[in-house]
Amino acid sequence: MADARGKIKEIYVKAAMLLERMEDSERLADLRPVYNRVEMGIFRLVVMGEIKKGKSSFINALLGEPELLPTASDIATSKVYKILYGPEKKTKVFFLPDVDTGKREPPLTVSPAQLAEYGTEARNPGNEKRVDFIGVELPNSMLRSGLVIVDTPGVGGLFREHRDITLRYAPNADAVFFVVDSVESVISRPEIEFLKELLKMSSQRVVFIQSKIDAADEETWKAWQARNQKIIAEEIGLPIDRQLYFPVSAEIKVMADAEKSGELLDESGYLDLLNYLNHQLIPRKEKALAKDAAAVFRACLAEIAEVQKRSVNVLQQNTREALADMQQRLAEKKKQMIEWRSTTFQTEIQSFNHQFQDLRRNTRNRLQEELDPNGLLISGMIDKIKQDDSAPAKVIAENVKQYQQELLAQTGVKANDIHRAFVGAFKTALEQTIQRMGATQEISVANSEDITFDPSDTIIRQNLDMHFSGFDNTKNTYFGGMAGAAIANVIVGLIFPPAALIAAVGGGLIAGSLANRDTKARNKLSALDRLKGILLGLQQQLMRHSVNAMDDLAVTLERESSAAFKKIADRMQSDLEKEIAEVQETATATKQETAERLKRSMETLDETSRLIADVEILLKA
Amino acid sequence: MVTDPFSYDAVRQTLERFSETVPEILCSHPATSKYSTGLYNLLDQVDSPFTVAVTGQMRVGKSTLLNALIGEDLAITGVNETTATINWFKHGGEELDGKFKVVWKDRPEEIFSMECIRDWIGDSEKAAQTRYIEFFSTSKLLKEANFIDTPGTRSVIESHEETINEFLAQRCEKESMRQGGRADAIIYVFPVVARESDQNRLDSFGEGTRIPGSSPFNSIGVVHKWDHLMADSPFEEAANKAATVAEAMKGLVCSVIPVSAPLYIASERFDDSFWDKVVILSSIVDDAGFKKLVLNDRFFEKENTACTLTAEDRQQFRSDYTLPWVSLRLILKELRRKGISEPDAARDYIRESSGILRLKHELEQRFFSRSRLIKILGCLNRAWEPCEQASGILRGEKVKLVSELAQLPSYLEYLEARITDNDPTVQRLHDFIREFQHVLRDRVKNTAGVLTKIDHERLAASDLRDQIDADLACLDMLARSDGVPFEPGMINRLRALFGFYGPEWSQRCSLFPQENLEDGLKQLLDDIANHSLAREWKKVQDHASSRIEQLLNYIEQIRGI
Repeated sequence: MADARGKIKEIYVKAAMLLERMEDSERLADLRPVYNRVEMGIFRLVVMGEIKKGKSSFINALLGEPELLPTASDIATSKVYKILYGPEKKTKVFFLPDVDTGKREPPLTVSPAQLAEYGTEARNPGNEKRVDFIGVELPNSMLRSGLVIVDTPGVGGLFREHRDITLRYAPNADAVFFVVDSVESVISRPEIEFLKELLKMSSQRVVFIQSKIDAADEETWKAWQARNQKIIAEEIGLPIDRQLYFPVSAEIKVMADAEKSGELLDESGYLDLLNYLNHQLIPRKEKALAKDAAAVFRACLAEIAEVQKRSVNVLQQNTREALADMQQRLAEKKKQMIEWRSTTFQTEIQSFNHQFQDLRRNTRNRLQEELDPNGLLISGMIDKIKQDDSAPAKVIAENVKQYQQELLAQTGVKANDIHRAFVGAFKTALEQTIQRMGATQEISVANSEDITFDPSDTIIRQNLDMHFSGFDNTKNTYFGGMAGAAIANVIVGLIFPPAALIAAVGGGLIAGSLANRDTKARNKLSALDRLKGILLGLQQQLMRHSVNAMDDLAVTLERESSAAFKKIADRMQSDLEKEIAEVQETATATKQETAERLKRSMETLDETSRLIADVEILLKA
Repeated sequence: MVTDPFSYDAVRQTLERFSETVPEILCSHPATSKYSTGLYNLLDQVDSPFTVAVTGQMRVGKSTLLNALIGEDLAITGVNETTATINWFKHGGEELDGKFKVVWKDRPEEIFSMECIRDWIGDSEKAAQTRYIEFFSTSKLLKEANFIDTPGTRSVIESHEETINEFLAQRCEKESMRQGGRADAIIYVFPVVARESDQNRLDSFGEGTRIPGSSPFNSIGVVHKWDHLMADSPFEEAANKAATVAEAMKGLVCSVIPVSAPLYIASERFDDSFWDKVVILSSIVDDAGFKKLVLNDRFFEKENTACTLTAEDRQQFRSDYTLPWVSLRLILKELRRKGISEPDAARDYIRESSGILRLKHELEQRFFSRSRLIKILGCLNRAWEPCEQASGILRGEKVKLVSELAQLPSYLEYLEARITDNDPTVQRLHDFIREFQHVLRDRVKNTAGVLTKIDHERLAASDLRDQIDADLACLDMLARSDGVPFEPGMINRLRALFGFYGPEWSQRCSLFPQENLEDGLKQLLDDIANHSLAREWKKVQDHASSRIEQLLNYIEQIRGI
């Protein structure tokens, strides 16, 4: 079970050999990236928590690299660090895209000594150097299997924008580790509020890490653990028996590594955590990746089976007359296909495109409507600010900061919902089109059974009933397959997180417009108006951003879908041409040659069926 | 008779006027009557004892710190206990020993014996019904001032946040005022890294007790709970953290001191045997053995061949002396690093390093010696603020009324041109507006009248207030540990001048020989005028000159009589 990755590798190797034997490099090229995704097995572990809870020390100890991330200075991590595998240790600074041109400067390789210039609040105030994140490549065995660890700046300190930066990483995390400590305090209200926000943005599980247990009496840290778990249960609604909670000591882990002591490793709490990470958390993601790949493999193997079935069919024709007859029918089929491509196929594509354009327009309207600065989302907040009229200017400024945060979060969630609905509707439309393309009226119940894979039986029946419906069967297989393969290829990696982008915009704005603490405006009304203006401006900018992002996504989806349609049709045609060539070849071949080739094709078909069975098992697991 | 303009009585007179006539003025206009409520108890406030609140986030060790300062375990501390109520610590006679007083929200106060205190801790029902609790001790510190321990901020127990907000926020003014219960000064306890919530809390305290832009003379910050820091020298690291916090909280606290209450309590209360053993433990020869010993509290009590004390001895040691593990670990590591092997030297070193002595010194210097000034200023500020707000409102109101009034003639003109015999409506409308014009004129007059009176009071208060604020700001600068550009004798004379020994004129002159006060003052005036000073000291120079001139004036007046 733990070895879904191994299983998929086995299937991939066999399928690759099969395809090589069939000299089908095109299909092989399709499978490779799908397999690579499993092979790389990227697992994004994002570490979050308040400042000075020991996030960086935790990561250093986890990787067994005590000097990796800076921990000593105040609010050491002001930037995001991404740690991943690399053959040698290297630190690179990645920059944000330019606001106007959208272009990024290329990443800069820096020495550890230079890092402070980019990664600390003191040397890079307000991120004036526009650093996006800092990448650390490391030849570490834990990272080799594709684990990527993301260290986020601590929230809750004096730098509010750190919170937005941190939340940006929520949607794409495979797991979030939330660090609390044994020294400063039990979970606080701001932490609970942050967690609630986090859970809105990420469906992934949150794993709780209680750090620094070496610095408290056992009685104390255990009491804190109990209190924390109770708070989590009561405030977040996660029952204690379902909480993932690990008390650890980085200090003791470092010593355990140095002395290679199992006893100390156990004492440090990292033993349990590593077990959980390596035997449950990461395998779970591997399994999910393997399943995605398996679905694509199944579709591809179904196509191979179809090709082989037809090859067997051809090779089984004993008489020249039968072959001639077959040749004629295939020629007819080809004609039919070419006609289909220029008529029905085109019409379907066109109708799909119309449908897609409608969808795009509707989504655009919905975004503009729901994120409209004069719309519902903001009017509630403006009302709240109005109620503050009697409060001192400074209180208003504080509150507006709060509302701005809320606005960002709400807009993010809303935009995310709309984008997700857009992608969902796109998928449905695509699937329906494909179904229409593949389906034909002629297919009867009996015929549809042809698609089952019992080689001997099927071949005989197909032989008896070799109608034009074969073409439709083919279409069904291909397009049915495409539903798995092509969509998977189109969609994977495109599920778009607009919340992340919005957080990026908002972060900058907050820093720019409201970080000014000296809003000691005596004239409250004018202060209020100005602040309202800022809020409206922010909302407007968010809306524009979100609409632009949707447009980009739509362009990509459109391009990918039409490419996918074309590819499938091309492949159908080329497979058909191969079949025609085989008929011709068979007509001139000796009996013995034909018999041998028949044997080989039957074998390949057998093997394909076995592989399909393997894939089915994997998918059901 | 000439009244001493510096005297406490003069301030009292001002405050008396504020609590009697000013509310009347405010009530005479509908837009400002609501501002009068905060003014009634000003006199009670100025007479109440000086009060210092210890506040900060939850679990930052506020109660432990108070116990260290008081010298007695009066505030409740422990693993799971959290202060849930506002606790007053007052000086009290022996009859109150071992007792505490609960002031309920809705029934008469009651005295309980200390054993019952557990019922008031954490998320407790009794705590929710309690307005505040009073504890009593004969401690010397409590003679100087009352202390208040508050529940921490950031707690998930919602009622705690409310309790402290109720107490410190100015919104619930009436409630706190009736208790005479607003703090005059605070000790703000920071963890090693300050948070935004700290900033906000300090902001609102400052807003309620000081003039905008004035120096934070009534807030001292301490960095606490840094015993776990892992740096080579935790004491230096703590000092660095304190410096960082001080920088971030500039203008909100007047100084930030790293302190460790557990270290101080250990040095004050633990017997020689503790220090004997600590020295033995910290000077283990084998490095690896020592590392194991301080790995965590479980390893401390395990077999360890490097240590001459047996495991049982160490277990006994831990149960004999209640000290957080992290503080014991710090003591052991620090003594080892410093190579201190004498028990007495160890005790002295730890006491000195705990920072509590320095905190006590600062409390004396910054709070207690100036408590009168701080109190007066706080009251004046509280008197001034509603007037300031009312003044703003009235000004706006006046502008509005005047502009409304200005429109009426054109309406009348328009209507006059259309008055005909056959349409009486127009005539009636015209008369109505004319009537309205009279009403508006009266309102403008009334508003302007109230405004003038309020402004008069406001300026009177702000004048006095600004002077005292300048006194405090100058004293604050003179309290700096280094960089003061005067010699010690002069610093003392200036301090007296700024009210360090009391606000009355004789106290301000107390360091000059009585027979030739004028000469002494004039000498000081010359001395200070002859100093060439950096810009930030200019205001000390200016304020000293103006104070000396006032004093000389006053002395001349009384001599004349």
